[in-house]
Amino acid sequence: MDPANNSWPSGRSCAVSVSIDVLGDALVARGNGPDRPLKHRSSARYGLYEGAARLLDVLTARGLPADWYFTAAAAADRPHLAERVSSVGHGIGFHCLPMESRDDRARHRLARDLAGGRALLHAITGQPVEGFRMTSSDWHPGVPEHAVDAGFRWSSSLVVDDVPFWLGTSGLLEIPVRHEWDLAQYLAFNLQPAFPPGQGRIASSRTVFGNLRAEIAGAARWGTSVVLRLPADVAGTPARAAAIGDLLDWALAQNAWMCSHRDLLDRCHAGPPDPQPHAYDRFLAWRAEVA
Amino acid sequence: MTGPGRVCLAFDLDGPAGDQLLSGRLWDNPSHFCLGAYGPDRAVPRLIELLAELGIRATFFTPGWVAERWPKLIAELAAAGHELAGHGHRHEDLSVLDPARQRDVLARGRAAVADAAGAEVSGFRAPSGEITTRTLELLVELGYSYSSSLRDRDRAYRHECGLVEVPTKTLFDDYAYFAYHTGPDYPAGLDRVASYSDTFEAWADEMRLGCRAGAVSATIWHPKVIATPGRLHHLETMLRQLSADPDVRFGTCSDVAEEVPDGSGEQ
Repeated sequence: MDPANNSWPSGRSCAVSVSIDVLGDALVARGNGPDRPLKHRSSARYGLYEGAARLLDVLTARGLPADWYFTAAAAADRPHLAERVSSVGHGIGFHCLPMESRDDRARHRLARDLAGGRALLHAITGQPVEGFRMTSSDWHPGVPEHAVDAGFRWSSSLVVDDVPFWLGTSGLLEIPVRHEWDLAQYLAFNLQPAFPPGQGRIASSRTVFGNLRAEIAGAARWGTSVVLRLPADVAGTPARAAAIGDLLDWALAQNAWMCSHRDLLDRCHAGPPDPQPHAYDRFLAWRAEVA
Repeated sequence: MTGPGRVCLAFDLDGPAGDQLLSGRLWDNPSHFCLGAYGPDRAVPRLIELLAELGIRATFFTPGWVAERWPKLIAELAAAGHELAGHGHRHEDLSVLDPARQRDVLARGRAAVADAAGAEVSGFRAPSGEITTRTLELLVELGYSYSSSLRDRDRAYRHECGLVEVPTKTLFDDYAYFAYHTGPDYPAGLDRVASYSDTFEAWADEMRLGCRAGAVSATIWHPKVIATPGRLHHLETMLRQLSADPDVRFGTCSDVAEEVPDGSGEQ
Protein backbone atom coordinates (compact mmCIF):
# COMPACT_ATOMS: atom_id res chain seq x y z
CA MET A 1 0.00 0.00 0.00
CA ASP A 2 1.38 3.37 -0.94
CA PRO A 3 0.26 6.84 0.22
CA ALA A 4 -0.45 7.81 -3.37
CA ASN A 5 -3.02 5.02 -3.47
CA ASN A 6 -4.52 5.53 -0.04
CA SER A 7 -8.26 5.58 0.03
CA TRP A 8 -9.51 4.82 3.46
CA PRO A 9 -13.02 3.38 3.87
CA SER A 10 -16.05 5.66 3.47
CA GLY A 11 -13.92 8.63 2.43
CA ARG A 12 -12.15 8.80 5.79
CA SER A 13 -9.23 11.22 5.93
CA CYS A 14 -6.63 8.93 7.53
CA ALA A 15 -6.31 5.72 9.56
CA VAL A 16 -5.81 5.84 13.32
CA SER A 17 -5.26 2.67 15.31
CA VAL A 18 -4.72 2.29 19.04
CA SER A 19 -2.12 -0.18 20.28
CA ILE A 20 -1.46 -0.91 23.92
CA ASP A 21 1.76 -2.48 25.18
CA VAL A 22 1.27 -4.66 28.25
CA LEU A 23 4.79 -5.53 29.28
CA GLY A 24 4.51 -6.08 33.02
CA ASP A 25 7.83 -6.33 34.81
CA ALA A 26 9.52 -8.80 32.47
CA LEU A 27 12.19 -6.25 31.58
CA VAL A 28 12.99 -5.16 35.11
CA ALA A 29 12.53 -8.14 37.44
CA ARG A 30 15.85 -9.30 38.86
CA GLY A 31 16.43 -11.80 41.61
CA ASN A 32 13.94 -13.77 43.70
CA GLY A 33 12.65 -14.01 47.22
CA PRO A 34 12.84 -11.37 49.94
CA ASP A 35 15.85 -9.60 48.38
CA ARG A 36 14.09 -8.90 45.12
CA PRO A 37 14.05 -5.11 44.36
CA LEU A 38 10.47 -3.87 44.44
CA LYS A 39 10.35 -0.17 43.54
CA HIS A 40 11.27 -0.26 39.85
CA ARG A 41 9.28 -3.45 39.44
CA SER A 42 6.21 -1.86 40.98
CA SER A 43 6.24 0.99 38.43
CA ALA A 44 6.31 -1.53 35.62
CA ARG A 45 3.43 -3.48 37.19
CA TYR A 46 1.17 -0.42 37.38
CA GLY A 47 -0.08 -1.26 33.91
CA LEU A 48 -1.19 -4.73 35.04
CA TYR A 49 -2.99 -3.53 38.16
CA GLU A 50 -4.44 -0.18 37.04
CA GLY A 51 -3.40 1.20 33.67
CA ALA A 52 -4.72 -1.48 31.32
CA ALA A 53 -8.18 -1.49 32.90
CA ARG A 54 -8.43 2.29 32.74
CA LEU A 55 -7.44 2.37 29.06
CA LEU A 56 -9.95 -0.38 28.37
CA ASP A 57 -12.65 1.81 29.92
CA VAL A 58 -11.61 4.76 27.72
CA LEU A 59 -12.00 2.60 24.62
CA THR A 60 -15.22 0.93 25.74
CA ALA A 61 -16.86 4.30 26.45
CA ARG A 62 -16.26 5.24 22.80
CA GLY A 63 -16.81 1.84 21.23
CA LEU A 64 -13.35 1.93 19.66
CA PRO A 65 -11.17 -1.05 18.69
CA ALA A 66 -7.58 -1.56 19.83
CA ASP A 67 -4.74 -4.07 19.63
CA TRP A 68 -3.11 -5.19 22.87
CA TYR A 69 0.43 -6.54 22.69
CA PHE A 70 1.15 -8.71 25.75
CA THR A 71 4.49 -10.16 26.74
CA ALA A 72 4.24 -13.85 27.59
CA ALA A 73 5.14 -13.03 31.20
CA ALA A 74 2.44 -10.37 31.53
CA ALA A 75 -0.21 -12.66 30.04
CA ALA A 76 0.82 -15.55 32.30
CA ASP A 77 0.88 -13.22 35.31
CA ARG A 78 -2.59 -11.74 34.67
CA PRO A 79 -4.43 -14.14 32.36
CA HIS A 80 -7.80 -12.69 33.39
CA LEU A 81 -6.70 -9.30 31.98
CA ALA A 82 -5.91 -10.80 28.56
CA GLU A 83 -9.19 -12.73 28.71
CA ARG A 84 -11.17 -9.60 29.55
CA VAL A 85 -9.56 -7.57 26.76
CA SER A 86 -10.22 -10.37 24.31
CA SER A 87 -13.81 -10.93 25.45
CA VAL A 88 -14.85 -7.38 24.54
CA GLY A 89 -13.53 -7.80 20.99
CA HIS A 90 -10.08 -6.24 21.05
CA GLY A 91 -7.16 -7.78 19.17
CA ILE A 92 -4.56 -9.75 21.11
CA GLY A 93 -0.96 -9.67 19.91
CA PHE A 94 2.36 -10.96 21.19
CA HIS A 95 5.08 -8.61 22.43
CA CYS A 96 8.61 -10.08 22.17
CA LEU A 97 11.18 -9.09 24.73
CA PRO A 98 14.27 -7.26 23.41
CA MET A 99 17.09 -9.54 22.31
CA GLU A 100 20.11 -9.61 24.58
CA SER A 101 22.47 -10.19 21.67
CA ARG A 102 22.36 -10.41 17.88
CA ASP A 103 24.19 -13.72 17.46
CA ASP A 104 22.76 -16.73 15.62
CA ARG A 105 21.67 -18.41 18.83
CA ALA A 106 19.63 -15.33 19.84
CA ARG A 107 18.06 -15.20 16.40
CA HIS A 108 16.99 -18.81 16.60
CA ARG A 109 15.63 -18.21 20.08
CA LEU A 110 13.50 -15.40 18.63
CA ALA A 111 11.86 -17.92 16.29
CA ARG A 112 11.02 -20.16 19.27
CA ASP A 113 9.77 -17.19 21.32
CA LEU A 114 7.41 -16.11 18.54
CA ALA A 115 5.83 -19.55 18.32
CA GLY A 116 5.68 -19.98 22.10
CA GLY A 117 4.18 -16.56 22.77
CA ARG A 118 1.51 -17.03 20.16
CA ALA A 119 0.54 -20.43 21.56
CA LEU A 120 0.34 -19.09 25.11
CA LEU A 121 -1.88 -16.14 24.22
CA HIS A 122 -4.13 -18.35 22.13
CA ALA A 123 -4.47 -20.78 25.02
CA ILE A 124 -5.45 -17.96 27.40
CA THR A 125 -7.86 -16.05 25.17
CA GLY A 126 -9.08 -18.68 22.71
CA GLN A 127 -8.76 -16.13 19.90
CA PRO A 128 -6.37 -16.26 16.95
CA VAL A 129 -3.17 -14.33 17.63
CA GLU A 130 -2.12 -12.83 14.31
CA GLY A 131 0.09 -9.86 15.18
CA PHE A 132 3.30 -9.31 17.09
CA ARG A 133 5.57 -6.49 18.11
CA MET A 134 9.31 -6.48 18.74
CA THR A 135 12.07 -3.94 19.19
CA SER A 136 12.70 -2.26 15.85
CA SER A 137 16.48 -2.34 16.15
CA ASP A 138 16.40 -6.11 16.90
CA TRP A 139 14.85 -6.75 13.50
CA HIS A 140 17.00 -8.70 11.09
CA PRO A 141 16.26 -9.82 7.54
CA GLY A 142 15.09 -13.31 8.58
CA VAL A 143 12.35 -12.15 10.97
CA PRO A 144 9.41 -12.13 8.50
CA GLU A 145 9.97 -15.78 7.55
CA HIS A 146 10.24 -16.82 11.23
CA ALA A 147 7.02 -14.94 12.01
CA VAL A 148 5.07 -16.43 9.13
CA ASP A 149 6.28 -19.91 10.11
CA ALA A 150 4.97 -19.24 13.62
CA GLY A 151 1.53 -18.29 12.22
CA PHE A 152 1.64 -14.51 12.37
CA ARG A 153 0.11 -12.34 9.65
CA TRP A 154 1.35 -8.90 10.64
CA SER A 155 3.99 -7.12 12.67
CA SER A 156 3.70 -3.70 14.25
CA SER A 157 7.35 -3.19 15.10
CA LEU A 158 9.38 -1.16 12.64
CA VAL A 159 9.83 2.54 13.36
CA VAL A 160 10.16 3.43 9.71
CA ASP A 161 7.06 4.65 7.88
CA ASP A 162 3.54 6.02 8.14
CA VAL A 163 1.59 3.57 5.99
CA PRO A 164 1.46 -0.25 6.18
CA PHE A 165 3.62 -2.18 3.74
CA TRP A 166 4.39 -5.78 2.78
CA LEU A 167 7.69 -7.21 3.97
CA GLY A 168 9.28 -8.50 0.78
CA THR A 169 7.59 -11.64 -0.50
CA SER A 170 7.07 -13.14 2.97
CA GLY A 171 3.33 -12.40 3.05
CA LEU A 172 3.77 -10.59 6.39
CA LEU A 173 2.34 -7.06 6.64
CA GLU A 174 4.19 -4.38 8.59
CA ILE A 175 1.99 -1.83 10.37
CA PRO A 176 4.76 0.61 11.24
CA VAL A 177 5.05 2.74 14.32
CA ARG A 178 6.98 5.94 14.92
CA HIS A 179 8.63 7.27 18.06
CA GLU A 180 6.52 10.43 17.93
CA TRP A 181 3.39 8.27 18.38
CA ASP A 182 4.82 6.42 21.39
CA LEU A 183 3.96 7.71 24.86
CA ALA A 184 6.98 5.91 26.33
CA GLN A 185 9.26 8.21 24.31
CA TYR A 186 7.67 11.25 25.98
CA LEU A 187 6.74 9.97 29.42
CA ALA A 188 8.72 6.92 30.57
CA PHE A 189 11.22 7.71 33.31
CA ASN A 190 13.17 5.80 35.93
CA LEU A 191 15.67 7.07 38.44
CA GLN A 192 17.76 3.93 38.96
CA PRO A 193 18.60 2.36 36.61
CA ALA A 194 18.39 5.52 34.53
CA PHE A 195 15.76 5.70 31.84
CA PRO A 196 16.03 7.42 29.48
CA PRO A 197 19.82 7.12 29.66
CA GLY A 198 20.23 10.91 29.82
CA GLN A 199 17.22 11.24 32.14
CA GLY A 200 15.60 13.95 30.03
CA ARG A 201 12.63 15.49 31.81
CA ILE A 202 9.17 13.97 31.46
CA ALA A 203 7.44 15.95 28.70
CA SER A 204 4.47 18.17 29.49
CA SER A 205 1.00 16.96 28.56
CA ARG A 206 0.68 20.04 26.37
CA THR A 207 3.72 18.90 24.34
CA VAL A 208 2.62 15.26 24.12
CA PHE A 209 -0.97 15.78 23.13
CA GLY A 210 -0.24 18.88 21.05
CA ASN A 211 2.23 16.85 19.00
CA LEU A 212 -0.19 13.92 18.71
CA ARG A 213 -2.98 16.19 17.45
CA ALA A 214 -0.56 17.57 14.85
CA GLU A 215 0.29 14.00 13.84
CA ILE A 216 -3.38 13.19 13.25
CA ALA A 217 -4.02 16.52 11.46
CA GLY A 218 -0.99 15.82 9.25
CA ALA A 219 -2.15 12.28 8.57
CA ALA A 220 -5.53 13.67 7.48
CA ARG A 221 -3.76 16.17 5.18
CA TRP A 222 -1.54 13.54 3.54
CA GLY A 223 -3.78 10.46 3.79
CA THR A 224 -1.43 8.46 5.99
CA SER A 225 -1.92 6.33 9.11
CA VAL A 226 -1.10 6.81 12.78
CA VAL A 227 -0.52 3.96 15.23
CA LEU A 228 -0.89 5.35 18.74
CA ARG A 229 1.41 3.39 21.01
CA LEU A 230 0.27 3.41 24.61
CA PRO A 231 2.27 1.50 27.23
CA ALA A 232 -0.28 0.52 29.89
CA ASP A 233 2.07 1.36 32.77
CA VAL A 234 2.84 4.88 31.49
CA ALA A 235 -0.38 5.86 29.70
CA GLY A 236 -2.99 4.49 32.09
CA THR A 237 -2.92 7.07 34.89
CA PRO A 238 -6.15 9.02 35.48
CA ALA A 239 -5.16 12.28 33.79
CA ARG A 240 -3.24 10.70 30.91
CA ALA A 241 -6.05 8.26 30.19
CA ALA A 242 -8.52 11.16 30.16
CA ALA A 243 -6.28 13.09 27.75
CA ILE A 244 -6.09 10.01 25.51
CA GLY A 245 -9.90 9.90 25.50
CA ASP A 246 -9.99 13.56 24.43
CA LEU A 247 -7.44 12.84 21.70
CA LEU A 248 -9.54 9.95 20.35
CA ASP A 249 -12.66 12.16 20.32
CA TRP A 250 -10.65 14.76 18.42
CA ALA A 251 -9.43 12.15 15.91
CA LEU A 252 -13.05 11.12 15.27
CA ALA A 253 -13.90 14.77 14.63
CA GLN A 254 -11.14 14.84 11.97
CA ASN A 255 -12.99 12.08 10.09
CA ALA A 256 -10.28 9.51 10.91
CA TRP A 257 -10.92 5.84 10.28
CA MET A 258 -10.53 4.29 13.75
CA CYS A 259 -9.39 0.80 12.91
CA SER A 260 -7.85 -2.34 14.32
CA HIS A 261 -4.70 -3.91 12.93
CA ARG A 262 -6.82 -6.70 11.50
CA ASP A 263 -8.83 -4.02 9.65
CA LEU A 264 -5.58 -2.68 8.17
CA LEU A 265 -4.55 -6.17 7.07
CA ASP A 266 -7.88 -6.67 5.31
CA ARG A 267 -7.62 -3.23 3.72
CA CYS A 268 -4.12 -3.91 2.40
CA HIS A 269 -5.19 -7.27 0.97
CA ALA A 270 -8.02 -5.51 -0.87
CA GLY A 271 -5.99 -2.48 -1.97
CA PRO A 272 -4.00 -1.99 -5.18
CA PRO A 273 -0.38 -3.16 -5.26
CA ASP A 274 2.35 -0.64 -4.58
CA PRO A 275 3.33 1.27 -7.74
CA GLN A 276 7.00 1.04 -6.72
CA PRO A 277 8.98 -1.27 -4.45
CA HIS A 278 8.94 -0.33 -0.79
CA ALA A 279 12.20 0.69 0.85
CA TYR A 280 12.23 -2.69 2.59
CA ASP A 281 12.35 -4.45 -0.80
CA ARG A 282 15.13 -2.16 -1.97
CA PHE A 283 17.00 -2.88 1.25
CA LEU A 284 16.92 -6.60 0.46
CA ALA A 285 18.00 -6.03 -3.16
CA TRP A 286 20.80 -3.58 -2.38
CA ARG A 287 21.98 -5.71 0.53
CA ALA A 288 22.37 -8.61 -1.89
CA GLU A 289 24.42 -6.35 -4.20
CA VAL A 290 26.95 -5.47 -1.51
CA ALA A 291 27.15 -8.99 -0.01
CA MET B 1 25.53 41.49 2.04
CA THR B 2 23.39 44.55 2.49
CA GLY B 3 19.66 45.09 2.41
CA PRO B 4 16.95 42.82 3.67
CA GLY B 5 17.74 39.33 4.81
CA ARG B 6 16.61 36.05 3.36
CA VAL B 7 15.07 32.81 4.51
CA CYS B 8 16.77 29.88 2.79
CA LEU B 9 14.90 26.62 3.20
CA ALA B 10 17.87 24.27 3.05
CA PHE B 11 17.45 20.52 3.37
CA ASP B 12 20.10 17.86 3.92
CA LEU B 13 18.72 15.01 1.82
CA ASP B 14 20.76 12.30 3.52
CA GLY B 15 18.49 9.30 2.99
CA PRO B 16 20.19 6.27 4.59
CA ALA B 17 23.70 7.70 3.99
CA GLY B 18 25.87 8.27 7.05
CA ASP B 19 27.88 6.35 9.62
CA GLN B 20 25.93 3.10 9.24
CA LEU B 21 26.44 3.11 5.46
CA LEU B 22 30.12 3.96 5.82
CA SER B 23 30.73 1.15 8.32
CA GLY B 24 28.60 -1.39 6.43
CA ARG B 25 26.37 -1.98 9.48
CA LEU B 26 23.44 -0.56 7.52
CA TRP B 27 23.12 -3.82 5.61
CA ASP B 28 22.19 -5.71 8.75
CA ASN B 29 19.73 -3.08 9.96
CA PRO B 30 16.65 -2.85 7.72
CA SER B 31 14.94 -0.60 10.23
CA HIS B 32 17.65 2.05 10.03
CA PHE B 33 17.76 1.80 6.24
CA CYS B 34 14.00 2.26 5.88
CA LEU B 35 13.97 5.18 8.31
CA GLY B 36 16.58 6.89 6.12
CA ALA B 37 14.79 6.00 2.88
CA TYR B 38 11.64 7.63 4.29
CA GLY B 39 13.27 10.96 3.34
CA PRO B 40 13.50 10.47 -0.43
CA ASP B 41 10.54 8.07 -0.65
CA ARG B 42 7.88 9.83 1.42
CA ALA B 43 9.05 13.19 2.66
CA VAL B 44 10.54 14.85 -0.42
CA PRO B 45 7.48 14.29 -2.66
CA ARG B 46 5.39 16.05 0.01
CA LEU B 47 7.88 18.91 0.15
CA ILE B 48 7.82 19.28 -3.64
CA GLU B 49 4.03 19.53 -3.53
CA LEU B 50 3.92 21.96 -0.61
CA LEU B 51 6.69 24.25 -1.88
CA ALA B 52 5.05 24.38 -5.33
CA GLU B 53 1.79 25.51 -3.70
CA LEU B 54 3.66 28.23 -1.84
CA GLY B 55 5.93 29.24 -4.73
CA ILE B 56 9.10 28.77 -2.67
CA ARG B 57 12.37 27.42 -4.10
CA ALA B 58 14.65 25.53 -1.73
CA THR B 59 18.15 24.04 -1.64
CA PHE B 60 18.72 20.29 -1.22
CA PHE B 61 22.23 19.30 -0.11
CA THR B 62 22.49 15.72 -1.31
CA PRO B 63 25.19 13.05 -0.93
CA GLY B 64 26.25 11.64 -4.29
CA TRP B 65 25.28 8.10 -3.23
CA VAL B 66 21.69 9.27 -2.65
CA ALA B 67 21.60 10.96 -6.07
CA GLU B 68 22.81 7.72 -7.68
CA ARG B 69 20.15 5.66 -5.89
CA TRP B 70 17.24 8.11 -6.33
CA PRO B 71 18.04 9.80 -9.71
CA LYS B 72 14.37 10.29 -10.70
CA LEU B 73 13.63 12.19 -7.52
CA ILE B 74 16.65 14.43 -7.98
CA ALA B 75 15.53 15.20 -11.53
CA GLU B 76 12.03 16.04 -10.21
CA LEU B 77 13.50 18.43 -7.67
CA ALA B 78 15.55 20.15 -10.36
CA ALA B 79 12.56 20.33 -12.70
CA ALA B 80 10.54 21.96 -9.91
CA GLY B 81 13.11 24.76 -9.73
CA HIS B 82 14.95 23.71 -6.59
CA GLU B 83 18.69 23.92 -6.18
CA LEU B 84 20.68 20.68 -5.84
CA ALA B 85 23.98 20.99 -3.99
CA GLY B 86 26.79 18.76 -2.71
CA HIS B 87 26.94 16.97 0.63
CA GLY B 88 29.84 14.53 0.25
CA HIS B 89 29.39 11.16 -1.41
CA ARG B 90 28.28 8.87 1.41
CA HIS B 91 28.00 11.57 4.12
CA GLU B 92 31.65 11.30 5.15
CA ASP B 93 33.34 13.15 8.00
CA LEU B 94 35.81 15.01 5.78
CA SER B 95 38.08 16.10 8.61
CA VAL B 96 39.36 12.55 9.12
CA LEU B 97 40.24 12.09 5.44
CA ASP B 98 43.56 13.06 3.86
CA PRO B 99 43.45 15.73 1.10
CA ALA B 100 43.50 13.20 -1.75
CA ARG B 101 40.59 11.27 -0.28
CA GLN B 102 38.68 14.49 0.46
CA ARG B 103 39.16 15.58 -3.15
CA ASP B 104 37.84 12.24 -4.38
CA VAL B 105 34.76 12.39 -2.14
CA LEU B 106 33.95 16.00 -3.06
CA ALA B 107 34.45 15.45 -6.80
CA ARG B 108 32.52 12.19 -6.89
CA GLY B 109 29.63 13.59 -4.87
CA ARG B 110 29.38 16.71 -7.00
CA ALA B 111 29.44 14.75 -10.26
CA ALA B 112 26.73 12.34 -9.11
CA VAL B 113 24.37 15.14 -8.06
CA ALA B 114 25.04 17.11 -11.25
CA ASP B 115 24.40 14.03 -13.40
CA ALA B 116 21.07 13.29 -11.71
CA ALA B 117 19.94 16.92 -11.67
CA GLY B 118 21.14 17.73 -15.17
CA ALA B 119 22.49 20.99 -13.79
CA GLU B 120 25.68 22.51 -12.43
CA VAL B 121 26.32 22.14 -8.70
CA SER B 122 27.76 25.24 -7.06
CA GLY B 123 26.99 24.71 -3.37
CA PHE B 124 28.23 22.44 -0.62
CA ARG B 125 27.34 21.72 2.97
CA ALA B 126 29.60 19.74 5.29
CA PRO B 127 28.17 16.37 6.32
CA SER B 128 28.52 15.20 9.93
CA GLY B 129 31.78 16.02 11.60
CA GLU B 130 34.14 18.82 10.68
CA ILE B 131 35.72 20.54 7.72
CA THR B 132 39.06 22.37 7.58
CA THR B 133 40.64 25.26 5.71
CA ARG B 134 42.03 22.61 3.36
CA THR B 135 38.46 21.48 2.60
CA LEU B 136 37.49 25.04 1.65
CA GLU B 137 40.47 25.27 -0.72
CA LEU B 138 39.55 21.94 -2.31
CA LEU B 139 35.99 23.14 -2.85
CA VAL B 140 37.29 26.13 -4.84
CA GLU B 141 39.67 23.88 -6.80
CA LEU B 142 36.80 21.57 -7.72
CA GLY B 143 34.50 24.36 -8.91
CA TYR B 144 32.18 24.85 -5.99
CA SER B 145 31.36 28.53 -5.41
CA TYR B 146 29.87 28.47 -1.92
CA SER B 147 29.63 26.51 1.32
CA SER B 148 26.78 26.61 3.83
CA SER B 149 28.53 24.89 6.71
CA LEU B 150 29.75 27.47 9.22
CA ARG B 151 27.80 29.29 11.91
CA ASP B 152 29.79 32.40 12.72
CA ARG B 153 27.89 35.25 11.03
CA ASP B 154 24.42 36.53 10.25
CA ARG B 155 25.31 37.50 6.68
CA ALA B 156 27.01 35.73 3.82
CA TYR B 157 30.72 36.45 3.37
CA ARG B 158 33.74 35.38 1.35
CA HIS B 159 36.58 33.25 2.69
CA GLU B 160 40.18 34.19 1.88
CA CYS B 161 40.28 31.38 -0.69
CA GLY B 162 37.41 33.03 -2.56
CA LEU B 163 34.66 30.62 -1.52
CA VAL B 164 31.45 32.27 -0.33
CA GLU B 165 30.02 31.16 3.00
CA VAL B 166 26.23 31.21 3.44
CA PRO B 167 26.13 30.82 7.20
CA THR B 168 23.62 28.80 9.09
CA LYS B 169 22.82 28.37 12.79
CA THR B 170 22.56 25.30 14.98
CA LEU B 171 19.19 26.57 16.21
CA PHE B 172 17.82 25.87 12.73
CA ASP B 173 18.88 22.17 12.86
CA ASP B 174 15.79 19.97 13.16
CA TYR B 175 17.92 17.19 14.68
CA ALA B 176 18.27 19.32 17.81
CA TYR B 177 14.50 19.20 18.38
CA PHE B 178 12.93 16.25 16.66
CA ALA B 179 15.32 13.48 15.56
CA TYR B 180 14.96 10.36 17.68
CA HIS B 181 15.91 6.78 17.04
CA THR B 182 17.25 3.78 18.86
CA GLY B 183 19.86 1.24 17.80
CA PRO B 184 21.92 3.44 17.27
CA ASP B 185 20.52 5.83 19.85
CA TYR B 186 19.96 9.48 18.95
CA PRO B 187 20.17 11.68 20.92
CA ALA B 188 22.71 9.80 23.01
CA GLY B 189 20.65 10.21 26.19
CA LEU B 190 17.33 9.63 24.34
CA ASP B 191 15.96 13.00 25.38
CA ARG B 192 12.35 13.66 24.38
CA VAL B 193 10.99 14.92 21.06
CA ALA B 194 10.35 18.65 21.54
CA SER B 195 7.05 20.49 21.27
CA TYR B 196 6.23 21.07 17.61
CA SER B 197 4.34 24.30 18.27
CA ASP B 198 7.09 25.80 20.46
CA THR B 199 9.80 24.88 17.95
CA PHE B 200 8.08 26.31 14.89
CA GLU B 201 7.17 29.45 16.82
CA ALA B 202 10.85 29.96 17.73
CA TRP B 203 11.95 29.39 14.12
CA ALA B 204 9.33 31.81 12.77
CA ASP B 205 10.49 34.51 15.20
CA GLU B 206 14.14 34.07 14.17
CA MET B 207 13.26 34.15 10.46
CA ARG B 208 10.98 37.18 10.72
CA LEU B 209 13.33 39.23 12.89
CA GLY B 210 16.35 37.95 10.95
CA CYS B 211 14.95 39.32 7.71
CA ARG B 212 14.43 42.69 9.35
CA ALA B 213 18.04 42.63 10.62
CA GLY B 214 19.47 41.70 7.21
CA ALA B 215 20.40 38.19 8.35
CA VAL B 216 20.35 34.93 6.42
CA SER B 217 18.22 32.22 8.01
CA ALA B 218 19.47 29.05 6.32
CA THR B 219 17.89 25.95 7.81
CA ILE B 220 19.49 22.57 8.46
CA TRP B 221 16.39 20.51 7.88
CA HIS B 222 16.34 16.82 6.99
CA PRO B 223 13.32 15.66 4.97
CA LYS B 224 13.08 12.43 6.97
CA VAL B 225 12.79 14.50 10.16
CA ILE B 226 10.98 17.71 9.23
CA ALA B 227 8.54 16.33 6.65
CA THR B 228 6.63 13.78 8.66
CA PRO B 229 2.90 14.52 8.45
CA GLY B 230 2.68 16.04 11.94
CA ARG B 231 5.62 18.38 11.46
CA LEU B 232 4.49 19.33 7.95
CA HIS B 233 1.23 20.41 9.54
CA HIS B 234 3.15 23.06 11.49
CA LEU B 235 5.64 23.78 8.70
CA GLU B 236 2.85 24.57 6.26
CA THR B 237 1.20 26.93 8.73
CA MET B 238 4.51 28.69 9.44
CA LEU B 239 5.44 29.11 5.77
CA ARG B 240 2.00 30.49 4.88
CA GLN B 241 2.33 33.07 7.66
CA LEU B 242 5.87 34.04 6.67
CA SER B 243 4.89 34.28 3.00
CA ALA B 244 2.31 36.89 3.95
CA ASP B 245 4.90 38.99 5.83
CA PRO B 246 6.23 41.79 3.56
CA ASP B 247 9.60 41.76 5.37
CA VAL B 248 10.30 38.09 4.62
CA ARG B 249 12.07 37.09 1.39
CA PHE B 250 12.72 33.48 0.48
CA GLY B 251 15.56 32.30 -1.76
CA THR B 252 17.96 29.46 -2.35
CA CYS B 253 21.42 29.43 -0.82
CA SER B 254 22.76 30.02 -4.31
CA ASP B 255 20.66 33.20 -4.58
CA VAL B 256 22.32 34.49 -1.41
CA ALA B 257 25.82 33.47 -2.50
CA GLU B 258 25.45 35.32 -5.78
CA GLU B 259 24.72 38.56 -3.93
CA VAL B 260 28.16 38.56 -2.24
CA PRO B 261 30.55 40.94 -4.03
CA ASP B 262 33.48 39.50 -5.98
CA GLY B 263 37.02 39.65 -4.62
CA SER B 264 38.80 37.39 -2.21
CA GLY B 265 39.61 37.83 1.43
CA GLU B 266 37.37 37.59 4.47
CA GLN B 267 35.04 40.56 4.85
